Amino acid sequence: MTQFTEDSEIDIPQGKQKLGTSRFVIAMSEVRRVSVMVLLTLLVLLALTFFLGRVMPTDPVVAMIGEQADESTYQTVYKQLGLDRPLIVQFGIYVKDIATGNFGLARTTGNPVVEDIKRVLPATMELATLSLILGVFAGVPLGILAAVRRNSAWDHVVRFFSLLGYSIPNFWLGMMALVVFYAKFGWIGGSGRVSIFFIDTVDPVTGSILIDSILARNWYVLGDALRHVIMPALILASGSMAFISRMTRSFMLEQLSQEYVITARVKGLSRVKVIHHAFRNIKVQLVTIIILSYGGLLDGAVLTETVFAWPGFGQYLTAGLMNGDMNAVLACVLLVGIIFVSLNLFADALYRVLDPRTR
Amino acid sequence: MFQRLMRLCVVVLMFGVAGCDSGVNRSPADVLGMAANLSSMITLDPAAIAESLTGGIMRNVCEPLLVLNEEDASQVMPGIAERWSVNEDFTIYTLHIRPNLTFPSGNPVTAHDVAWSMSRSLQLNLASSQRLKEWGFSKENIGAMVRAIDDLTLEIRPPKKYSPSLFLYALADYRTTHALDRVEVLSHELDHDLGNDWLTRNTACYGPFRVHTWRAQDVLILERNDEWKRRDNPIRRVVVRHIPEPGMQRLMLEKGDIDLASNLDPSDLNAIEENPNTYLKRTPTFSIIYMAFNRDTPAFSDLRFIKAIRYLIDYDTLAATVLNQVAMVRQAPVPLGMFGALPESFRPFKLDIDKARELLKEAGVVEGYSFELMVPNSSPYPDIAQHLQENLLKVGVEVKIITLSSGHLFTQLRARKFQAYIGGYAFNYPDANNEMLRFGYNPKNSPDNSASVAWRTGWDPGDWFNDTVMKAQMEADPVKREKLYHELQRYYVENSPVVFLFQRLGVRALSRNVLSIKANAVTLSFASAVKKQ
Repeated sequence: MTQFTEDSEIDIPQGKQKLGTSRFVIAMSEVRRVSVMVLLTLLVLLALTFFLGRVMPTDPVVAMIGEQADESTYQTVYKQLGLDRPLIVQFGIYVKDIATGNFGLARTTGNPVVEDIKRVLPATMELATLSLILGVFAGVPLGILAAVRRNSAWDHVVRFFSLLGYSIPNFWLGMMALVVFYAKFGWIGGSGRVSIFFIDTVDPVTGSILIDSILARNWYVLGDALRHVIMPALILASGSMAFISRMTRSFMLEQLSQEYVITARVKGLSRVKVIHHAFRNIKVQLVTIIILSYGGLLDGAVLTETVFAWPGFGQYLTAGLMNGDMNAVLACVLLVGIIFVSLNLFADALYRVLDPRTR
Repeated sequence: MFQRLMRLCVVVLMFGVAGCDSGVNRSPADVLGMAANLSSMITLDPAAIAESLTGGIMRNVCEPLLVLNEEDASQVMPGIAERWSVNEDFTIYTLHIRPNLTFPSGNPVTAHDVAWSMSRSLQLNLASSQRLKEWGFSKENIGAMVRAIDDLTLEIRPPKKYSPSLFLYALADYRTTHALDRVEVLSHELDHDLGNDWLTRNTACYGPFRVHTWRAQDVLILERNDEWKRRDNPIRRVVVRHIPEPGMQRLMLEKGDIDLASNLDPSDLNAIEENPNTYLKRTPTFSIIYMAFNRDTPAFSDLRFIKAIRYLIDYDTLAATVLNQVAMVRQAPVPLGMFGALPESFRPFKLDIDKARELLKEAGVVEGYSFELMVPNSSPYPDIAQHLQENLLKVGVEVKIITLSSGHLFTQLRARKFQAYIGGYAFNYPDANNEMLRFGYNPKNSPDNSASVAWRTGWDPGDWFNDTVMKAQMEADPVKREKLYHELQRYYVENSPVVFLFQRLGVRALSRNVLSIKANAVTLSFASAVKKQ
């Protein structure tokens, strides 16, 4: 049993201080734990990719020198790339280099990998962000509608389109969209971020052609860029829209069957208010899946980027893989890992902000 | 707030749609828009370029000492050098550089730059060094054999007394005799790399165009070099966009978003011809499609097996279907249009399954025999392989087709880890010597010669063949030279484990906006393009 003394009151601030200190210590140890976990995850990811890359059948030397070079040229380039060293040494050197921020040169472009990623990532982020916005704005209302009108025609229609979004491959959808909306009707732009004659007509400031064209007040380029981005964004959004709408429906159904909803209905609250209450309670889960689907959009745009010749991260990674450019591949894989881990941590943090019970 | 955001989005989207067909993105008369698959274009350094697409584009940027005629690659024309002379015993070539040429930096183009660039290529020992080594130049002898007499006179002493008609082709290869801006390149040198790192992303050459922007796997933009005054160049800018999908290239051409598509599928070509807004320009290339067998596999060392394969291919049907408009039947090693090529009528083989069955029986190939056939995963190779697979099945031989990326296939070939493969090969100058060195000459039959198809297939052509290849290089009489190449080819077809199938055509699909453009077997001349005003 706790003994209270006269000093107890004086001890309270000390206790608070101790409590604060111990919270800080706990928080710091949590940060340390998470940091170690993250670093270990990334290191394992890096090691797996590195060693898998080395057993890939494509010889990076041949990819560089072509078919016709002689043996002495082959050996020169082989040594230049450091491939004559033991594998473990190569990995050690690579890890040491990236610890100092040196990701090496991409053999497919001749640029430092970091510079390449700085160039291609904004293109993918532009596409993924727009897709996410479209996915959320379509997916969430549709999910709510499907839940509220469960088993009605609305529910079936939403389910049908969600299933389409899940099951139709993006590359097929992309090609069809190009044939119909680009070639037939001319409503959208073709491949790339802008028409070929508009390339490099606005200065790159942010890397987003939409924002850069607004900053440059070049409305022709803005219009052209919108015509180019809208279809790949819609196609990429179809998957996330399907995912978000199905998850929203599921979360909403769970809430709508809760007692507080029944009570609210019995009390005579309007349907809109009841839905509003239920929706507030799914926000936390919804934010989590939206954040995670953003990660999926960022690294999952490979096929869409290929069909629309979108010079983004996915296309860069694919070219790297096809040419055995392991510096590019490793950096991309590491970046995807970092994005996923960061988004997970971000979702966790948001969870705590939005749901007081988890604090 | 939300409603405001929505309104903004709607306005912006409407604005975008309003931009449709506003006419502003139509092809300007002085800009040439081209779609190409640039995935293999990984460097701009002439010393390191390893493939033909980049080579074709870069010939518009880096002019060699001599150039090949824009429409007929067999004719050598003045390039950076305005004239040249050869001494009586073909041991000294004197080339006179045009005066008052300048690099983009403003530095003058001199004979010293050419000599330095050739030496640099050998010192770096990257992909293009092969082009010099095959003429006998080495980093040890280049200094003595290629000398600048003064700023505008270059003297080249080839290591052998090559036939002048042959050696001039070496001087017309931009990967051999380009002029790099020595001062500019060396100012960007890192760790004694002779500017290789910088030249990967930049250029310092003289030619009708200059590289304005290059983003690998994305876009290449060339700007007209106004200093280049060989003749009028109406094209101010060339934009080459990386569009890997042939279907996308076709759509863009049909919509008028590009002027030129360079990688269309055969299935798209008829549609291009039928479209009143587009047309095709075909040029024979020095690129061949062939099949090779590794003699490490015992069955393939019997020439009757290889001969049976020649009778199992329906050349004409393939040329009319999967290769429609993109290739023609060519059963001789040397492509048409090259010096020393056998006539077009040289077609000793046609589909004859009974004859093939007989030959296989004689070779002792038993029913159910199977082998692996590697093919690149790009058109038209898998289709050709499938065709052969079907026909071989008719004679009781099973083929397992393995499709690989080009990089993977080359790796297997260099390591000689294959049984059979179908591949393509692009030659860079129009003389049979090129072909004979790459496919036949194999004096030591050692891995040092791993770039040679003869070594890869384990074929030792014998002394007569190797000696004749060397003799033909030196033969000054064109008639005698041609005769030697004819003999070599006939021997090759009879004795080698290589089956020649087709010669590719360079097919470019063009918008009617382009009134004319000149192309030869190795390059497309952007400067020759004339567009509608």
